[in-house]
Amino acid sequence: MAILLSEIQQETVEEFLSHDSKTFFDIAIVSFGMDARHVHLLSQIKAQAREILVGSNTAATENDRQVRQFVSQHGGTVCSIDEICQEITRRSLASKKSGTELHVFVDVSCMSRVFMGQIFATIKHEALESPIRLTVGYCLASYMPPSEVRFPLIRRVAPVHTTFSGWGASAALPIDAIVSLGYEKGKAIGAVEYLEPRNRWIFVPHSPEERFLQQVKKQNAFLIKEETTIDYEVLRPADTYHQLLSLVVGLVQESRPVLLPFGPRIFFAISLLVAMRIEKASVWHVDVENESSGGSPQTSAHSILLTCHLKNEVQSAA
Amino acid sequence: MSTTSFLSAFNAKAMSYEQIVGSFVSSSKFNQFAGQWNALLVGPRGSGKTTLLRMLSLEAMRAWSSDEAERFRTELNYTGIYVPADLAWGEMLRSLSSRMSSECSELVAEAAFVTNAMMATLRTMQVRLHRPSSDEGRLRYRFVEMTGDAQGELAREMASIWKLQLRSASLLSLQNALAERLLDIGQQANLLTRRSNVDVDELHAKIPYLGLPLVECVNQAISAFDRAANQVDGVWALLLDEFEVAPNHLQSLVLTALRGGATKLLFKAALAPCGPHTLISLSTPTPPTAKDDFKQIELWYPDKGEAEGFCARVFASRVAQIANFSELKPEQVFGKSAYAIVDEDGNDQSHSQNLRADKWAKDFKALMERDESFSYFIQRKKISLDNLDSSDSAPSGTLIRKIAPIVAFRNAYRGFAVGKKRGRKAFNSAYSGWSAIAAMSEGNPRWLIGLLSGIFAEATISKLPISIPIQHAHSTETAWTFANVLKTVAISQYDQIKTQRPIFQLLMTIGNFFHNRLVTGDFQEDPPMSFIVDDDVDEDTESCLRIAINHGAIVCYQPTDGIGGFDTLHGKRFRLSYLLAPCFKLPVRKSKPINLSRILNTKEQTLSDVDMMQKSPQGSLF
Repeated sequence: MAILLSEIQQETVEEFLSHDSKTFFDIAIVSFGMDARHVHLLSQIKAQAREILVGSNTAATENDRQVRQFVSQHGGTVCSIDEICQEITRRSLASKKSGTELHVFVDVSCMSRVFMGQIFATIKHEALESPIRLTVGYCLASYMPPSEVRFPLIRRVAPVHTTFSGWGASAALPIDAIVSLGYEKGKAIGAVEYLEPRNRWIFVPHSPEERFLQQVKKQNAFLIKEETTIDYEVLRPADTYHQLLSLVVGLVQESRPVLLPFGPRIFFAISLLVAMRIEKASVWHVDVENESSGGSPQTSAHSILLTCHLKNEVQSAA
Repeated sequence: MSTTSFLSAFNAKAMSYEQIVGSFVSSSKFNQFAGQWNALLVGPRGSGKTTLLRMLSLEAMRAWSSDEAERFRTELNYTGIYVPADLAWGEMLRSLSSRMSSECSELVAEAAFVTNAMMATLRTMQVRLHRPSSDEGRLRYRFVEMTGDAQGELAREMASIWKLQLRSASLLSLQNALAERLLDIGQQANLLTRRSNVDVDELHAKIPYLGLPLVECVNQAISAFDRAANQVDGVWALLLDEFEVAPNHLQSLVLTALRGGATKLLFKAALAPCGPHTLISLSTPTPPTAKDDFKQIELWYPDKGEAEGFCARVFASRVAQIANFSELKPEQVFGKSAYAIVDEDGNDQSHSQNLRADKWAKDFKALMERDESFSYFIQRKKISLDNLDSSDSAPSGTLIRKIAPIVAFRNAYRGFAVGKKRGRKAFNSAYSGWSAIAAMSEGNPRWLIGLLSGIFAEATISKLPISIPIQHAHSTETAWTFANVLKTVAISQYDQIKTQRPIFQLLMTIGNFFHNRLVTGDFQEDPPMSFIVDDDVDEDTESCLRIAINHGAIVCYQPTDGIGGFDTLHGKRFRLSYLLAPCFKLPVRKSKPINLSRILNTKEQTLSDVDMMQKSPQGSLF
């Protein structure tokens, strides 16, 4: 069953706080990792959050002290991914009983894609039962050069989660690959060719951190040379959602659309939202064992919030 | 949007039946595969398995119009059911049940695969019943008249066999019910994966149609159809594409069913040479054999000469679509290769004439001045450089042809940092000319069409043959695109073949070793450029090689030793794909083998990734 997304809007944190200071998030989910961006949005919106759940991307033993420090500064509870999903479910049931609407905030700035896939899958399942308002936060990193991993150990190229596997699309249909580029060396072309798609649609990210774009073009020169590209603005996620959705809607009648969202995580989140709407679209990721971030990205001056209302398409039609 | 990448220049999965038959190039391998028997088609990615399978489907047989097509329609007495699958679908299948126990996961995947096969069976039946738009013979091929009532009765019977609920007694309703089942499998799997400890009993309760047997379900359905059509002796063939993505149990079932030869339902399956099926032990005391029960067709060519005839026919089919080019022969367009394409005995397999002995003489002389060991070799073999004669009648003609590419490479790269070329002049003649282009394609239609498409794009009729730099640029770019794909190949395939070693790292170790043996040390007329997987090669490396084989990155000289592929790689001889030759700066030629363990244990200067990439025309890519 598909989700109907409505009331989609984008705004900066400042805009949000200036006119919406009485809006509260029932749950704010942030991920704790080595990336300095994990606290940036939380520090601004924590007053609006009734409950803060902190998921850790890395092994707890390595980061116990840092996580404890983080929680003591910003509040919240450290949880496993399963515990976060259970809490979303618990809260959703409670909202349904009380006739209120659950509002979830997810900061995807430095969240792992698998983590994001599982959280969004849970949100989708709960939204099928009872409407949810979702705010996705994204803080752009300041530029840093790409890592130099000579031989990436790619464990798997696969759908990020069962819910986003695009199941139901006939195996007889050809694949159309929709790729957003990152600056990872050769990753995009390798993954695209692996899928043997009929067509490739290449999204190129633009942001105020212009050096990212230079690297993206450099690392993906072959794909960019061969393909017609579609530009998108990293800090205009609502526009990108509509751009992506209209493409997928156009393709799904005659192909299996496979989304390969490399690059900024906000595009990954948008892809998951599109796949909530169009179930036959799948969202894939490349699971790399020895991927190095090349250091800890610093926060840029730019961040954005994308808010939407999610509800069961069938119930909504009724 | 575009489809111009060399790897996607030809993709049979994405083509309509009209496009497939329009671009089809027949071969002896197709004839071997097509007959009324069980058959396995074994080949790496892009080797044309999907094309051959789809060509045998009912839809293609109707779309195909030629004398050859008429012969096949007359001789083949079965209805081909094309069952689509691909790696992406296989991953979706795995993803569906990824958090379940292996037993539950296998059951869910099997239900999905069986539903896919049912859909294909029904689709083919509907094609048989579809009234043709004209009386043209090919359009009436296997057409069956059936009343609406008979179709309704057939739908009811099939629904009963397949445990489906129909809203109305029609084949369309049956089609809808199958689509709903596919969605239901996804939804149930989704719900169940949110919980832990789902057991088989609970799974059966939620998905009551679990465990429907593939072979019986299809067999009973086609029998019902044939009874309704009054053709009880009808024969059908399940054409199973990329069958290695199917659950193990189904693979085992179908491979076991090959025993006994032709029945009402034939099996023709496409398999990767080192898929999971090669690791499965069939649970039968008398497994089928390629000698008695089925034919096994391998879609690769260890020797270049074998592939060249097929490549020439593919060339002819491609130029037929280009104005002014349609009558041209490959060597008119690409010219002759600068070096004879020789086997290890020095036999010229390309039959090229007019080998460019005058150009070679320059290389020979230049190397003589710089390489004492080569100078000694020339003296010992009594070769006269003033009159370098490579003809068959010359006493050293065979030897000269054999060593010419080695001399050229050694002259270009010897005495400089490894992988660095001497001087500024481009060394670009090794990967141009028809024989070299055909050899680099490995007889793999996708690679060949990709190579041809890229080069044709810059060809003009008034400037033929196409210039060597243009050919070189495209063949090298193609090689690097392939290398780049190999760099991002996952270290686990089908969840069962796993390694800890990046695939391209192993290929690079081997390629660098061969390059070093070619360029450094004393001159050898036959430096090693193939390897044997000896007993000291560990399991992890063998898994890595298995993945490389499935991608076409290495080629085995021996035939397969198991059902549908290689049971073991130990003792077998391999070479790097010729498409990778430009990346490792190797000539396109067969050469003597060396044990792989020796290559892996050698510590020596290697072409660094960066050096290699700087040499590639896509240097900026990396």
